[in-house]
Amino acid sequence: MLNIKNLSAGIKNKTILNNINLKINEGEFHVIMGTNGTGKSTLGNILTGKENYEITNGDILYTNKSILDLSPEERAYLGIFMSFQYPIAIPGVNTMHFLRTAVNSIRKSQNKNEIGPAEFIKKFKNVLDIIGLKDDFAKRNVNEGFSGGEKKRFEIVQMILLNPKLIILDETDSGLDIDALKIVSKGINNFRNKDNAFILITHYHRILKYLNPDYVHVMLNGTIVKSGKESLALKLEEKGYDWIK
Amino acid sequence: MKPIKSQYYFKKEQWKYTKIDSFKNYNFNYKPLNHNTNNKKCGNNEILLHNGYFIESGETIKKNNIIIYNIKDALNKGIKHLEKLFNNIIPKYDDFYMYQNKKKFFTGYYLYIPKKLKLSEPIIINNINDDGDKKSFINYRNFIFCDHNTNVKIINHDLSEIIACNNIINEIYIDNNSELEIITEFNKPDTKQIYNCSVNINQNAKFKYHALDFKGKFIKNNYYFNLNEPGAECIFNGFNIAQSKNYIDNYVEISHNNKHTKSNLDYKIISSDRSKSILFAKAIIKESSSNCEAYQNNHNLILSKKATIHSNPQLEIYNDDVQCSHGSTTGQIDDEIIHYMRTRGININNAKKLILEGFLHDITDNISVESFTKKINNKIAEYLQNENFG
Repeated sequence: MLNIKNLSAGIKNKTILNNINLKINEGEFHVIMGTNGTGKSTLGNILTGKENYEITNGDILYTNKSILDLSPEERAYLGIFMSFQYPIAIPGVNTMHFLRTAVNSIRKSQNKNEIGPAEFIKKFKNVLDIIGLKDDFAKRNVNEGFSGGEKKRFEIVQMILLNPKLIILDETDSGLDIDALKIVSKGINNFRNKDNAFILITHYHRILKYLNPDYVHVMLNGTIVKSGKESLALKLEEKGYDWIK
Repeated sequence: MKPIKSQYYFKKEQWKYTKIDSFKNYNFNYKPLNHNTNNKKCGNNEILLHNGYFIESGETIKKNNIIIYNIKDALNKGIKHLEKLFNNIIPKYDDFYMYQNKKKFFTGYYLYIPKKLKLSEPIIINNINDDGDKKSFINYRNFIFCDHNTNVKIINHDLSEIIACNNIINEIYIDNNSELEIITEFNKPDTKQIYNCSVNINQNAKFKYHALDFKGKFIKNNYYFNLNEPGAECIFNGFNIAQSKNYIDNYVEISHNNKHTKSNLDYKIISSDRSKSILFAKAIIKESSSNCEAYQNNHNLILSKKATIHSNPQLEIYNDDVQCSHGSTTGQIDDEIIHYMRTRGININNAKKLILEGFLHDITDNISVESFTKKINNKIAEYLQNENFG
């Protein structure tokens, strides 16, 4: 599904990602761990097409086609989604209106009919319930006045409703209490299937015991220095990163 | 006619950003037609005016003993409160336009809301404006008196589509324990307008003003809200959407003349193309006015490199025992928000439209007349539909 080949990138002449190679197949769950400021979120941003980054080398192939020239919305149409580390508030924009616009934009790109307000609110409330958010979320503005945990949960609500294929979860576990972590993990697990794939960026093993990832990668200084199974995450938690450096 | 003393008037804050003598060579003696040629029917809760002259009022208006006269007629009827208050609610000094209006007005209305009248339906004042001249000002003079313990809403609806220049003075008096909400929509791309609105708010009376300016070649609004008795409250809520070469200058002066008075200002500006918008808001809390609250919020978005916004919220506080705050932001639409929305499949154009819609709905949500809120939200949607922000 995703093939990152020799990717180097940076911003304003500063190299952040250095020769990254990563292959992800349908149905797989990958985890990226690493010290602060090592380029994990930058990788997520570049995958979603954020402007201002300069790709200096390599390519990103998604379903065997380069996506480097595609806009963020075009990537969303193809099924690429990121749950943000710091979801941004959109003052005055209602959650339901926002999400229905998003869902219908993607459906339109796929030549599907738009979903009407009545049908959408049913779906929306159902997903809110799954993720443990109250119905009145439908009346609030996007991320405005949300607690840290609510923001992270709302990202997962968006994921479920937008139904993407490649999901990047950027520190989705940070800011969640133990109960919320379980609910969010359950939501992610229910969404997992043989046709989609995940990249989870995290600092902690605690969410992994609910998600059972297939691979764990360690990123240091903008490059992937080690890959392994879930046990690698446990070892990192125990010993830190020094032994890899 | 008095000569224009530009130097003197420039010192006035109302005219800090706008040249007072921009229209000094215009004609101020224009007398518009005063008969309804439009044959528009008057609804139950409507008052029909033609070029500012009173034509007829609907059943609800008559049934509730609401009185409306042409202002010139009212001044000859010996109405005591009118004789006492006329020209005394508006500030004492004359600027050029107020002077012209006071000397030369001949159109406009007097409206009396009888005591204890509470109307759930809004009163709609429909003014059919079909006579005007691009180089002549029409002087309108309106006076509203809300007697004690009333609760009414007024929607000013201007049906004109002509090129005109208006010079308006509105004086409003709200007696004890009354509530008045006024909604004024301005959407006339070819009209020049100078609008002075002055309101005296008495004990435990509440005044809400919604100023919704869509387009205007030149709009200069001066608002004076006087919280004269304890418990008086005023809310000023509005937006302006300035496009092409629109010029919209708002001056809002709120005077807390007594203790336990409260004011709240929420204003938003969207300026695009080569337009220029100004908000100069000032709350003055007098030395004897303890336990007052004054809040000012102004948020503005600039959509083009050549658009200009001046924001100047001010608090003049002469008493220690008050709660006040003011905040102002002016900038472009946040790129981070745009990116976030794009990752959800919403393109730049639609993302900006959603953001702008939400930005303006924050203001329209404060209007208590639901049907009007819907109507104005449709107009916002229409404006956004016709723009390309991509």
